[in-house]
Amino acid sequence: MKSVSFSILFFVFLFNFNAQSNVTLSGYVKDTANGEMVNGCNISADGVKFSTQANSYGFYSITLPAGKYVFKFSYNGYDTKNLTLDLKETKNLNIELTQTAAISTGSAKVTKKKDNAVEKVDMSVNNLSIGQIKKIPALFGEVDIVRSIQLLPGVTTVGEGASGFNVRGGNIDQNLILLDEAPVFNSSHLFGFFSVFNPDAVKDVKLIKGGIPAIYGGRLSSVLDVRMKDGNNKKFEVNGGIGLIFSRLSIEGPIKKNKASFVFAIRRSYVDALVKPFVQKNPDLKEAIFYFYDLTGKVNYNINKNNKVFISSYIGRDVFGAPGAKFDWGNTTLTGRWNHIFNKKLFLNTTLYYSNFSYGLGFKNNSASFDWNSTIRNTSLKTDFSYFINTKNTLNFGVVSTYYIFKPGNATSKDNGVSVNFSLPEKFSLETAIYAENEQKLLKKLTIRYGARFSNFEYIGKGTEYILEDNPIPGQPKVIKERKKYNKGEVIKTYNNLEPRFSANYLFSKNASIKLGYNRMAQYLHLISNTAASVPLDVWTPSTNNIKPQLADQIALGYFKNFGKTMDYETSIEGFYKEMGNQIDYIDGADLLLNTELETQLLKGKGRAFGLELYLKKNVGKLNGWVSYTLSKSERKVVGINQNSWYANRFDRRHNLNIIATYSISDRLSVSGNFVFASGTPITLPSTKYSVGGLQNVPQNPNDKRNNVRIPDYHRLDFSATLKGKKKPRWEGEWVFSIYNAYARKNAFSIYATPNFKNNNTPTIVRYSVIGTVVPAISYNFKFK
Amino acid sequence: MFNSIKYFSLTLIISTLFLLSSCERAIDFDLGSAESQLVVDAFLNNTSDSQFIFISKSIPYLDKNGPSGYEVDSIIVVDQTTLKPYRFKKLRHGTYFYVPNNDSLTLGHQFYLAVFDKAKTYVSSSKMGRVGTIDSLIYERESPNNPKNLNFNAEFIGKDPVGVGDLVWIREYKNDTLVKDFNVAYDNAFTPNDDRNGDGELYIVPLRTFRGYTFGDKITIEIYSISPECYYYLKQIDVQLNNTAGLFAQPVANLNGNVFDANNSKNKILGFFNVGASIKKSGIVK
Repeated sequence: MKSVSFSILFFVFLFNFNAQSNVTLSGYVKDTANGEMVNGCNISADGVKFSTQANSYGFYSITLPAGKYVFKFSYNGYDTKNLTLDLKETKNLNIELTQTAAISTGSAKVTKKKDNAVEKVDMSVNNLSIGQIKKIPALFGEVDIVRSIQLLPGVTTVGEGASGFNVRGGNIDQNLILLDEAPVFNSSHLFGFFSVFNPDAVKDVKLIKGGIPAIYGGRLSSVLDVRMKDGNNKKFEVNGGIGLIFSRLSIEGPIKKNKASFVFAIRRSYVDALVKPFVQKNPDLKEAIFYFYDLTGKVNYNINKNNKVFISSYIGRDVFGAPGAKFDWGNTTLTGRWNHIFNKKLFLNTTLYYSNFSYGLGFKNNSASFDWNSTIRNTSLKTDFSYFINTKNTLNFGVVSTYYIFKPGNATSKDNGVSVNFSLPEKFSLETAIYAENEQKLLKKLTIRYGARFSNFEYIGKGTEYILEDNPIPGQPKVIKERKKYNKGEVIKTYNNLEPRFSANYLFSKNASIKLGYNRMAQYLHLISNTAASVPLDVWTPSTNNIKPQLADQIALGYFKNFGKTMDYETSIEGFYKEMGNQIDYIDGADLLLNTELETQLLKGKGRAFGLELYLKKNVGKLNGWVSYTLSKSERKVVGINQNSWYANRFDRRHNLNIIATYSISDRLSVSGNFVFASGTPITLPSTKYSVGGLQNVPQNPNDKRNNVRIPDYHRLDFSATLKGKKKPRWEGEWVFSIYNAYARKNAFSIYATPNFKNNNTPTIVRYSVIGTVVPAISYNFKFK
Repeated sequence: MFNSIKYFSLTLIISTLFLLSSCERAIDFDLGSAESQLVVDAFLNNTSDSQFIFISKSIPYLDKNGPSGYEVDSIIVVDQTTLKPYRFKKLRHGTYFYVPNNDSLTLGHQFYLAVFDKAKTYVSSSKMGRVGTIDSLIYERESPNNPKNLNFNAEFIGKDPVGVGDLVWIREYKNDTLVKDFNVAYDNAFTPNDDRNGDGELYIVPLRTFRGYTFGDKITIEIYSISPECYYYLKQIDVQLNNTAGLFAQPVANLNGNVFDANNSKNKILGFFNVGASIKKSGIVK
């Protein structure tokens, strides 16, 4: 460790050396209206000759020879700002950008705004501003971040209502979902209909699918980086919405003008109250409760020019109940951040976070009860440096360490006062990583980013190491040869992985580039789930001596081009190939819950995915939106499944087309529509049956093929219209009317074989649709300032 | 427990999705080729009741008929300890029986099965384990506070034997018909359990509870001992038979039986052979 820090320092020193005669312009990029930091803003001087990007905390620094320049500050959703400066000496300058009118107010004004995707070295990245997300027609009119990113190229889902999302053929546990840097282990409310992010508290959303920078690690397939608002530091503002499923309210404002601000947002669903009159007749449902809520809050304080602190937190929970039974789950996160500017070129972010996901399940009758809960908890400290070395080099490096506590199941059965404990032992682990990555302008037209992340994972005691027999009988649980007990803090198993990362961008012209990205990722946490879609009961487990870390190598190649009179069309075409090792699968009929010997139920396999993604986006003008098309394939090969040969993953979809369009009719009225088409996912169906042990209709699949048939294709059309109220000095209101699934297609979530459908006692093939009709909705949003 | 979870999940899903008008509809679907396979169904017990073994062939999944019996040359079960052969006789096409005459199968012994079918012989073995006790059956209203809800829950009070390795199949017969939802217990727990919590105690909730009874229904609870292989086999059946749609569905997978071709142990056939001890208790819901 010591030697690594030393080499980083040396590296820094080396680069510092040749930057003597230059001057530096540095500072923060902020939003004019509310003082929010604008993360990732592109800064260039004299065209593309000198360019840099603000980091994810809004800080930028550009070093160049003294002289007169036209600086250009541009970012998606903001008017580009041109600034002529005669730079004779190093200077600190905070920049304020104004949101592009078309997005912030929906007006028909056509603005000149060029997106900078072509110039950035980042590839396979989709940024969505909350303004864009709000334009997409939504289920029940409720804006939702995870449902919105499912409309991007390379992103799919198992089906309507399934929790999470799949990126480039990866499993849902392979997405690193960050809310202000704290990982969120389950991003769903109401199973998967809504996500945990309150759009009123979110600033921006970035999805990284490939060429993943070294700052990120721990998951194979993607990073969904959700940043919360800092809170308006200029004036108070109240935002809210009343919808059919839930209502929202958020308050933000300065605590001390331009010095400290806060944002606090709350959501609560009232499906239970609304549904009550309809379920009076059914005693089970009458006594049923189901609701969710979440609270999101953030405070920030500018101590001085060089120091800022932020504290943010999220608490959310879903609660379901039926007579004699209860089920609840939710996440809690707490993030503390300190941003420090050492000098014009060196920026530090230190984050301390805590994140927790837990669920509880209980049954009870008059005399006895059974209660069960499970938790994954982690605490992490990370330090990231951005070093803007010179005009050609920007170095990011840092270190992160995370301590995990897994409680796979605490279960107690109580019977007339006698209680029996079935709890599984806790598991502990420590994950540490260091990384360094340099973005270098190698030639005028060629920028590369290269680096690596070195990750270390320790599975530590108190715990038991299960040593398994070498040659398991296929289909049977593995046999435990030996159980070795370890004391608290003793290392049971260690893994190390070097994860190289590389990206390159070659600019053909100002408006066209070709990009290449490679990343190796290691993942030490695994979500244990063998159901069609992940459910909140699924348990996270660390890597152990038997569960090896998942590894992925991905290579992506893309062509990016902007065109149109004002460069208002942005296009990209990307191809990717990904290989994944140590993928977890399960023996048939595996026991995954409350099983001390879980490791005996697991199988190991490999995965591969490849595809082509086309993306056409129009950012500005009366009509804007995007079209995305993905052609892809995701497969898996596991000894013990499908006669040991490759088979399609449950979430494999060959074609995926999304068309999203918004048209501003007037300053007050805009309409949106989207169309989604996705090939049916594969599932397994039996072709024969037999009886055994007095049980009839046992399904059999004679050729033992997994995922042997495909469910019908999915397609759907949605519309929405937003009507803004008349302008009042302090009140802005808008009505959102939406129609989801406009032509009422009964899209299949799955099809299955059942021996007894609706008491017909006849084997039947059944199509199950989660949403089988048109879902109209109306909601009202307001802003008070 | 898994039954309870499933029941609960279903309730949850129904409630949640009520608003979203989720719908299930029978559809026509071509399930492809349907190769017929031999099935040996041999669950024997230590009672003095007639013992049956069923031989059949699997049939297309959507076939409305029951399984078609299949005739073999002969079937024999041998007690490894006493070497006593139990020769099963043909009752009708595919059904073979043995009537114990003060020679019921013995607890703790290992038994071998051989099925002779033309040139082929299919073999298996099973050891009879212990069962606990059933002392009483009790019934209670599902929602005592809701006079309109006339459903009863039933439960049995019984104990797991002291000591490890007592795996049982808890079979429920409602009005003399086997209920396809069932519980299996691994030493009074749901899964193998390092600390053997619950061993030798009263069978726990929800292993011992049953739903969906009304006044006057007959309930019979049988506890039947099973081998570890049988335990996993039944868990698989449970998943496969009670798999519905929705988020909680698990992949359709073939069961892993314990009857195989004597000349090629890799060539498994469908079905299972288990010899277990059995105890039963019946009552009328009141």
